[in-house]
Amino acid sequence: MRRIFQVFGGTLLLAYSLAAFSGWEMAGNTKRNTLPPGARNAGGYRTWHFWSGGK
Amino acid sequence: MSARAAQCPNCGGEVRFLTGASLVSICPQCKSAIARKGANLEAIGKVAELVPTSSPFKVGMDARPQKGTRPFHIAGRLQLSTGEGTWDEWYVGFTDGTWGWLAEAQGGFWLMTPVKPPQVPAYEQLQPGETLDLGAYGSFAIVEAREATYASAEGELPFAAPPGSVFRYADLSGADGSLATLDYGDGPGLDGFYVGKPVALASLGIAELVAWSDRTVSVKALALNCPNCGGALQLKNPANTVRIACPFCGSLLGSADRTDQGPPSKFTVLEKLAAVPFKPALPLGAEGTLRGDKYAILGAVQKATSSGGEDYFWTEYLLKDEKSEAYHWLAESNGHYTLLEPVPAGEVTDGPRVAVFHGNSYRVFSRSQALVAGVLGEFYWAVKAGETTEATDYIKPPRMLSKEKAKKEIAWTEGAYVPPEEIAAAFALKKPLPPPEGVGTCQPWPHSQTSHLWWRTAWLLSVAAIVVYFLAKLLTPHAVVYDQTFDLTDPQRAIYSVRGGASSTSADWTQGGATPAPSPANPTAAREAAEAALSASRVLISEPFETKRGANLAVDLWAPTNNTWVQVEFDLISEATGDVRSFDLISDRYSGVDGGESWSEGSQNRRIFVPRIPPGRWILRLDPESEAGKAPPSFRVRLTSGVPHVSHLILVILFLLLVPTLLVFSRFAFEGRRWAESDFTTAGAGRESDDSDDK
Repeated sequence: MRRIFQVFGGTLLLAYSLAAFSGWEMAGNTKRNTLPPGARNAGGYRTWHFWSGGK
Repeated sequence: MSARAAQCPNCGGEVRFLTGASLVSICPQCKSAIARKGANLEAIGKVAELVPTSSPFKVGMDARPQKGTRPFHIAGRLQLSTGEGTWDEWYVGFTDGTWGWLAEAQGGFWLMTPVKPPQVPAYEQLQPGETLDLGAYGSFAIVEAREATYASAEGELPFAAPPGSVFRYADLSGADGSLATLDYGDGPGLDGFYVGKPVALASLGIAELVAWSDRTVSVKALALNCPNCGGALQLKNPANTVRIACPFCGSLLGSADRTDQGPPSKFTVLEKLAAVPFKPALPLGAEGTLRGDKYAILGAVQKATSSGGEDYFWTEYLLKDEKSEAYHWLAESNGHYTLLEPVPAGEVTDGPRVAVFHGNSYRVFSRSQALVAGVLGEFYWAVKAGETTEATDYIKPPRMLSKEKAKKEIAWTEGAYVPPEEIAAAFALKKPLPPPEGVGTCQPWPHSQTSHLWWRTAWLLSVAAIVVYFLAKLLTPHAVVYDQTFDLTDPQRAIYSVRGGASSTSADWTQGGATPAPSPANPTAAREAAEAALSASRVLISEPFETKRGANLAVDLWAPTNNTWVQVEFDLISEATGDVRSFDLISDRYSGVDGGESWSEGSQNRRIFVPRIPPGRWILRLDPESEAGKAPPSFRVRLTSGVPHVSHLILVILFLLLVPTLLVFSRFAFEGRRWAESDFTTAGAGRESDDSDDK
């Protein structure tokens, strides 16, 4: 049992080290989208009506 | 030491006074006790035949003890009997002319010397268990207060009482392990006071000593047949055995006259039983090495107590430690075993909730009237069914301290839990012992060692994780990729400008778009259009910025909010792919005084981590909103790439501590089951019980 815990703990520490040094982040409280190409062509992200239109 | 030979006034044989302090010498020819009275000798009575015992000592032995004890010569032997058992006390003369007693009790040995008697209560006032303050001698617990008969003797004695005299005495136990005896003699006053220390047999330096197991004692048979059933009885301790309870028929055997002046020369049936009263789990007579000591199982006593209308039984095995010759006990209850050995009462401080022994506190667990329900095997005292004592157990798992109080004596034992497998291995049992039921009184929590190791491992890994966090914070190339402060210049119109404005202007925010025309026929559309226009007027678009490595992005919002708020909706847009990450942050800090007490809530600083931002050029769209007329003067946005997240560290530590923490709950549950069987709570308070009279 102690060996299992050592393996578990060691793996966890290794994974954490990789995450810490690589800047890995879990999915947080953010939404992900893709800007429709049409919107970009019609003035892109600088147009106010795209951002206010579907929100 | 002086030597003087004289003629016995009774038989004319030679009697010798080898020790200066001797007042009596027993004539080896006629067994007369010859008293020295000035220059004359007087026969003051005859002693009975000595009862054979298994004592390792003999009159005439010389001791050359190790440092701390003076050399001495064994000058005489006094044999005493309480009617329930006989024991020897050895009169010794030291090389400096002083004298003392080498006492034996329950297999232990003490070297006692006479000292000036202190002020003490009358014999009748002594209560076993109570403590006596003996001034300069210290405090002593009263262990035993009894009468004993001067049954026999040999060699010399330091007193001139006639054989057959009855002495009253009290044995006391000191806090430093010392033993004291108050000798009240046969009169009202104190005749003598003796104080001494326990001595180990091996340390006495007596060359002629023979080991207990090899000692041949008188003519007693090691094997005999039960006079009732004919069963073959193999005795392990024949020289000290006063009672035998036949393991085949249960009959109680002893001397025909029930005098119990030592082991009888012939055992007769004192009491017949219809059947064996109980079946011990351990074979009587078995020998084995347990925890480093070699033991022989002499007998078993089944005890019972009543609680809540139910009878509870347990078994106590009498063990003989073959090296020290002390009697130990192996208590068994529900398959749980505890090995106990006698400890001096003076070294125990007894309280209502705890007892302290050698600096360790033991919590009271049970107190009951223990009844001897049945006996089997051989015993050095006149054991019989039906006897009761008050038994109190104190625990400090895996150790137990136990008190047994009778009318005339009190006895303490201390010991540790022994797993059944260890018992079976020690006595080479062919069948495994029955598995224990429930939690034993002093059973240690079985995961104690595992828990300790897991906690240690968890802490070490946690410290390592903290080190990794700070190393990552110091060494990883995290960089501020965007840092901008925005002023709120026209709160009436809710239009913001960029401080130091190199990026967008309000004109940019409406660039390229046509505001939907409000229609008078559609008021909802008109209101929405107005809101959209207002929102559009607030929107900020940053200049593109670049992230160099794929990592998270820490977004910080700060505003000097004081009893107001500003909320910013963020859209992080990849110029290359159109990938959009949307989130919002709010800076809100409120404070005040309510009922004379100041309070505050919220925070001017907020942070969010955006996961997995690939390298590339990005645009930030911000849509700030604030309370009308109470907007803070500005807010600041900072984006930092590749920031080690402290919440990850906390999660890792929580994961590492999860299993050890579960073990803590397991331990609580284990202790709960243990104390559910107790007469007391864990704090030592007594539990309400219907049968409180039994307690």
